[in-house]
Amino acid sequence: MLLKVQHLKKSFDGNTVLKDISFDVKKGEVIAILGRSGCGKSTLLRCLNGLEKIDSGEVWLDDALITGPGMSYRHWSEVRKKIGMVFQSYDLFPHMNVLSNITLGPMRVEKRSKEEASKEALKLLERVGLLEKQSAYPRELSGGQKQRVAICRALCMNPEILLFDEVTAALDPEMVREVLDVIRGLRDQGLTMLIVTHEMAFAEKVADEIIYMENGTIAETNTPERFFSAPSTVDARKFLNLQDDFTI
Amino acid sequence: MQNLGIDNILKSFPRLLDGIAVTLKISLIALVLSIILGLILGIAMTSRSKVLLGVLRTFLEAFRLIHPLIWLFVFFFGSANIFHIQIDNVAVSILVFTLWGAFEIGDLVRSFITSLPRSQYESSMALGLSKIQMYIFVLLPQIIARTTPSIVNLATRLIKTTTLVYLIGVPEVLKVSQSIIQVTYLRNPNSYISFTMYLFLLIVYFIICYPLSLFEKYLEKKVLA
Repeated sequence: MLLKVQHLKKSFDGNTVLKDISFDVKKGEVIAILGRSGCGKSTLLRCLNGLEKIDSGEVWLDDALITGPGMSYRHWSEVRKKIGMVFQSYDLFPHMNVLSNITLGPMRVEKRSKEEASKEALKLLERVGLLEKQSAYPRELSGGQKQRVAICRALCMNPEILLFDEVTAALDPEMVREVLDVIRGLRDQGLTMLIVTHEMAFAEKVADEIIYMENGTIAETNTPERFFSAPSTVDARKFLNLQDDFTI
Repeated sequence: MQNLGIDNILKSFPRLLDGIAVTLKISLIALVLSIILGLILGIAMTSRSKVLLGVLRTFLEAFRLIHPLIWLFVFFFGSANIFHIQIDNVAVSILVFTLWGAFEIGDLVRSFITSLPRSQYESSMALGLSKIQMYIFVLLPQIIARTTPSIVNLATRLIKTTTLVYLIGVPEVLKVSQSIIQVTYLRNPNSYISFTMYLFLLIVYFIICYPLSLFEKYLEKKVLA
């Protein structure tokens, strides 16, 4: 198992957001996490790389326990080299050009040389079709382009697992596709990914497994085929608009 | 021509230059120190400690609301009266203007840091950057770019306001000019030296401050672009 989550609990000010979450992620597996807004799916991702402190439970990465009391900021910096994350708001660093945005982590955190980091960054940019934008500043890019650069930035750290937190939610429809195409390409290369998304068709195509969350619990874990045709919970049926047999 | 006192100005030009040098020295040292101190204060003002915030906030308001002249008197005469030590008047001037500038810059830095979206921090953290790396590579360059126009603006205000230090006896350019005017009047009561001298001062301050003001406008455009 690459990642093991056991009995994870998280609350904000006495408000329980995650209740006893357990699941495993195998190497190379792509898991889509679905659910209504506020069901805790983003919080779950943020707990996995230490952006949120968990109340109890355990997260194991490569058979090493990464959560628990007394885990310092430095410890999380180490973990975050292996667990990359891409955010909805893409937040590139506005004072740096595209290439510097991507090479900052590899150079400063992993202490790789500028040449080596740039070489890999350019390869990634080429893969997402943005090679000619290497010297552009974030303000000169469209939302979709920014998000593709943000994905390159996370990938250049060579993470073992990549977390996607609603990465297309802030994008115009025509830009959603270009970002999803990049993620699909990563799946084909065997990258392990946890994807929180509202793009149902995309989740169905790209995921090996669907985790459906409801009120801070995992209500259903299923294959995409089964989940989208015959979800086992009533709530998931409602969520997918299956109950009345109508589609919009 | 004799009455305008231009020859007196030319004769005492080295002294006037010394006066300008004192003005610039106080302004420049205070500016550099207040930028460094201001960055530290600004970061400290984003702290979660209520006590620290309260103390800093009080000082900020004190330096904003109380005129720098009063601070000059407090530090200069206060130190002599209360602690019975005589601090060099140039040192007092630099100290007062450094604190004044530092709290102004500190507040700019604080407001910029708090206006940055949380995701800027989170995406730096998610890359595995340490806290110090986050400040050095992500926050500081942005803070510097965004606050530079205001810092240049502060520099012009600083240069103008340092004129006050003549009141604690620092021989800056205004003080020098006035003594030249007095000496000239003693010799020639009909001289128009004060008109000429103050015109000269006006030109001096304009030559120093106008390029700074243009620079500020240029920077503002660049930052907003």
